[in-house]
Amino acid sequence: MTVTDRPETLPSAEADTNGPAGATSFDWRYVWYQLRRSPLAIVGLVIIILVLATMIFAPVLAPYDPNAINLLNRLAAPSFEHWFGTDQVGRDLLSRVIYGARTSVTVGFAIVGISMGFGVVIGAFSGLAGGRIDTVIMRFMDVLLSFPSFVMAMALAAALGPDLINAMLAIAVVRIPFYVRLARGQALSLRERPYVKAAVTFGSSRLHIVRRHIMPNSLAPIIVQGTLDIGVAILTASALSFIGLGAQQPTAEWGAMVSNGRDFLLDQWWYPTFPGLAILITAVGFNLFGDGLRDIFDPRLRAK
Amino acid sequence: MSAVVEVRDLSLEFPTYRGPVHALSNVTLSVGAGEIVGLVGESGCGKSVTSMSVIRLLPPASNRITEGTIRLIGRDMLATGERELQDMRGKLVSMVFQEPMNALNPTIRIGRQITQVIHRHERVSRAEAEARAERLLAEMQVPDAKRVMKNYPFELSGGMRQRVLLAMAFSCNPKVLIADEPTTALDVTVQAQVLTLLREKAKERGTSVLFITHDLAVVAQLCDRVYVMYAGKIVEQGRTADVLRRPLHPYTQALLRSLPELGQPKQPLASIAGTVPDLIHPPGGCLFRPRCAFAHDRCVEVPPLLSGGGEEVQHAAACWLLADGHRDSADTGRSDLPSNEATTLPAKPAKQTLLTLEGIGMRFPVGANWRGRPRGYVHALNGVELEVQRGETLGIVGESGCGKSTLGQIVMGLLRPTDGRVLFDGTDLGNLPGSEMRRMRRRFQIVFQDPQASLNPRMTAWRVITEPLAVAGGRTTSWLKGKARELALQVGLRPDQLERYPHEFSGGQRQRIAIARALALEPELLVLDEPTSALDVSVQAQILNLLLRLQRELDLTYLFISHNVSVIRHVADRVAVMYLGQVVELGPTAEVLNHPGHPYTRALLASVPSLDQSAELAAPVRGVELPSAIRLPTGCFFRERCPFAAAGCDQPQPLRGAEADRHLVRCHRTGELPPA
Amino acid sequence: MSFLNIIRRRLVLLIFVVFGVSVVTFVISHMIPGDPARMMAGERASDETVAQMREALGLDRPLHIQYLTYVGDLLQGDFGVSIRTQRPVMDDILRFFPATIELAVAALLFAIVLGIPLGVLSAVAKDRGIDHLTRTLSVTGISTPAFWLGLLLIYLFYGQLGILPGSGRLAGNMSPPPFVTGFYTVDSLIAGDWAALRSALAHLILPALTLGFIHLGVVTRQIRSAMLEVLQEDYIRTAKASGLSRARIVLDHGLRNALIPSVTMIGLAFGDLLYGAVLTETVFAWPGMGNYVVESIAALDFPAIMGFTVVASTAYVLLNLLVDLTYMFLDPQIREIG
Repeated sequence: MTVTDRPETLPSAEADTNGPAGATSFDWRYVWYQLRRSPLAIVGLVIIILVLATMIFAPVLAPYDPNAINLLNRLAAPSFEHWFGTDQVGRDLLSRVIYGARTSVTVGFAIVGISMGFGVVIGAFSGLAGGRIDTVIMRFMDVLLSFPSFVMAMALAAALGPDLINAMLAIAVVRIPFYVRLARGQALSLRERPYVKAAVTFGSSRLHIVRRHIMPNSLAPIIVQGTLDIGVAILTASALSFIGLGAQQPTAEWGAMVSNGRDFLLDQWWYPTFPGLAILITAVGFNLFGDGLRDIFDPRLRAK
Repeated sequence: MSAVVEVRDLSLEFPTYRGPVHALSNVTLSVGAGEIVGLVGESGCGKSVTSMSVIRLLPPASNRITEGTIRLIGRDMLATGERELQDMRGKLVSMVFQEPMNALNPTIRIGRQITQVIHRHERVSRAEAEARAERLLAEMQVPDAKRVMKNYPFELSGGMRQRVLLAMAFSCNPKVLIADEPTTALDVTVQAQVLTLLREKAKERGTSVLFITHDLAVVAQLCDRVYVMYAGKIVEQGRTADVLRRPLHPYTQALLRSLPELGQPKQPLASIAGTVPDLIHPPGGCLFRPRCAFAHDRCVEVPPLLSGGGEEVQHAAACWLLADGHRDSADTGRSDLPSNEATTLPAKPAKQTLLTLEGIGMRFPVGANWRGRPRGYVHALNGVELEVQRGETLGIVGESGCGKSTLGQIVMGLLRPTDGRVLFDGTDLGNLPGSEMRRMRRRFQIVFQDPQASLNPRMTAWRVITEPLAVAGGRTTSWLKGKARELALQVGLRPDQLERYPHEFSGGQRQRIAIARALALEPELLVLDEPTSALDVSVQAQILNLLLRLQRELDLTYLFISHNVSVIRHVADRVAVMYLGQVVELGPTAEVLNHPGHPYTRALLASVPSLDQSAELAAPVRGVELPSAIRLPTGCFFRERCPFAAAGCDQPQPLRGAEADRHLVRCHRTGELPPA
Repeated sequence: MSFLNIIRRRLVLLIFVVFGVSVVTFVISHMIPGDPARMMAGERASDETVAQMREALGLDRPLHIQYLTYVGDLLQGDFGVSIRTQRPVMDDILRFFPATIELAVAALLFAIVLGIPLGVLSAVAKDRGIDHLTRTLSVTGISTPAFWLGLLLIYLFYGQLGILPGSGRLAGNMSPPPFVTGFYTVDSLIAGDWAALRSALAHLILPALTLGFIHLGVVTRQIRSAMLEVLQEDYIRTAKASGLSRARIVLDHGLRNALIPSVTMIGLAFGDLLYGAVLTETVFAWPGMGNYVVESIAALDFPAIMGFTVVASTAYVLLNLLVDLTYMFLDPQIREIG
């Protein structure tokens, strides 16, 4: 036991800042300044914008109907007509990759949305409730976190039946505990802030504290985690599709396309290559941007 | 005297997203052989940047030196390569920093951290290095040096770690030691010991010291000469005695006058209006001009360092007042006090108890076994009995770990005491139903130490101030905004700035916002938990003045918690001295602080550095470590460290006094002690 | 917290996890579309045969009895009989387990040996060219679909260059070395069978590279961020002010402290190797547990899928225990008090 365990701290001489120069995480000018200095984060942002644009304007961008079968032009090599070639039933791979963005990215957002939504609510509730309720919920989450998540998602998806929606739900469910832990940690640390304590002293209700103090201030780290997770979710969903537990024919989905193209790898390399590249680029986009955001919002990494 | 450190005309910028910060402009200073030189100033004045530049420790990408030279022991530091710099650091010049808690590597044993430095600079055998490290530790008064060599930093207290860091700094007999606020994070009794040690060892070895601090009293106790910095410039320099006795620069004068130890208790302190200039867009000419009471036409030009004249050698200040024709006004500045604050003491209201603490005890569980049960308890409070009278200020003073902040949180109902009762105006707060408690809470409010952390960064100032009213409900936005303006005026904030966010305000302004919020519900009692400890002294003076004025105007009762004896002396009517979760002495402020009855109070008072250089800095306690609050000592808690301990001290001591309720002391030997 | 406490806590957690997994797998087995009895008996079996099968499987008994029987069987290592292979699931898993571990260890070694220096380099050169390069590499690793990378490598090294085999653990005409560890590389070394060793290594390279590349990203990123955090600690400043050399500051003071939090992350990543292993093994027809479970999924072989889930989860928890212990061993504050 040393003095470090005592609940009080001595004031630091550096606490008072020098007028209004101190930037906080809510100074958007500061965020933009940091982003501009981080070329990789910008690359990520550009990729995300391009992918989202591809998603939205798929009908305009795609040269062909992604499901139009042309048995006369099967497994064609990339050419001016078919930039990414065609698949074994003559569908245009470029169009399928473009439409695949709709499936894969939507699934990615949906997974993060569901797991974040449930996780944050449960986590914030647990953290604020404290005591026995908190202990029970967190022990339960510990158990869930001890499951290997992909294996559980696989088992769940297998049980629900091979289908993209089922795969999505399975992945979302196993990711809930991560957000529970994150949100609870936020709630616990914010609960100790003097401004929350002050709010308690003038008789604020729990609801007021959550709405006014906890929520707005815990948003940033949760959004950062969410951005990073979209990449993970897209990868996981495509992996489930690859092993046959996700999207089924004829849905244009990147993981399933790689899986279908696998049999033609040695002679028609382009078939599995382009859809896989699409997964890679999209995941890179979300990871780069998420990393950039984390560097900005994580005060521990901010230069002193 | 040949200078070992010579900084000439140093200017330095930090690039930021808002443009370059002109952190240092034309700083010139020198430290002679064997001299101890202070570099003093408020936060952000550039004193740390200066010291780090001397040994080129600032990360090269983060700053740009635009002009000037730095010479260290005759070497041009700006032209020296990184390899050579490494050879110099730790060998010719070493440095100790403010935060001893993190300044040692947590995963390396103390012994190896010291011997590593020795091996780096000298070819000695392992055994020799270890022997020297042990000798150094012993020299720095580390008890049981042999054992400490094998310890990890987490096993040592903050004061002990700072001794280890001093041992490291002295390990290769450097010519220069740069100490950057080395005692700021320490308690006063520990600070007194470390300062005494530092001065002794430096003089013994003939080491020159550049000592960076915000505390003028520390300078008075330690330094031969002093430089005063303001906004990246040296504004005054001279022998410590000269500068403190006859400050030349209006800033130095104002800084000294804002110290509570120099003011009359309960009377307004002279404070410096305004805030430190934005160094991204500094005002031209003298940087102190916007805040200076004596500013005149000539101040738009940058003032040179001008001698104060007389026989005070080297005493000079960067102020045009010292130029011919203005010298007189510089001297008259001293006795000037602001006139807008009333100076009469309020009439004491009839005695009426507002707050009663009955036998308050508080335990915190520590550690957990595998079933989650605590392995022990920190006994933060051990039977605290206090009464606060309506209209008075009860000061609570003590060092870290004494339980004073815990006590404040218990009064506020933020913590539920393990034992005892809190009575507010005769009502027991412990068993009030929720709605009653909510109504009761309006009558007492709290102001925290760190104004930055106590304001929600996502709420505008007016929303922060009126949050208590909004919570109560039923008010329109325009009514709330009107109320916010009223409160803002009351605490000296500009109402037109209320749409801003907290980070757009300075520290002092933020504390004003926090005070306005605490006043919104028109409470009777304010718990002030170190309200000025995070602030610079000039800002502290403003806040203390504000609090004293508000108390008079609004008839408030204060429970004022502070580690700072001078602040307590200034504001409190009565004072309670706490040690290890107990009140060891209680009585009228002047009575307790001028005639301390408890040996701990005496030690505490003797450790506070004084501006008066003739006062001896001492810490009359035995041993260096505060006892564990997990396994409390038996009998008198201070017994093991008390120089007057005798038979009978192993029995629990009650608070006793000659006249009931006037001056109480928890020591059975009070009458037998030699006069303090 | 002491070692013993951690072990006790983890073991209690393990009980809950196994219990949880058993519930989940039990529920899942009852959720599956179709009738397991009919599946067992075969499509064309008569209703009578199916009823007999149902009785034989205990499916006619109340649910909680079925569950208790199920748990009892699990505890005895009886995971039922695989529909696809018609062998006890436990036997199958034991047969495929070493191959997965061999692959995972090889991948992890690759990731750590390369990832730690890269992470350190990246942190030290923060925001410079080498940092951008390393970060791009690590983000690419994290973002690469393992199955796709595997296919690319097969196309390149097997299809185009023809210098490495594209599937299996050993050349088709060779017999595995005598069983000692179950790792073909180690076992052939022990047996002194150099031809088998070469073949085993050649077969290991591409799958290990595939799996390792993804974790290289994880390790590099973790080490980088831990190093960045540590390098701005006050004790680093103390070390600099003492004139210690840059190498000593980065490696002794920096990396030593950065490794402690990283152990947890890298340990967890090893657990996630299971995930990558499933995909990698599928692509390379690597006869491990991942390949086994994917084939079982295709055949809707639920006893096999659930058996795999139980074993994988248990292994995961035990691994976490090991990680915690390593962490505690590295952190003197825990070690000394322990």
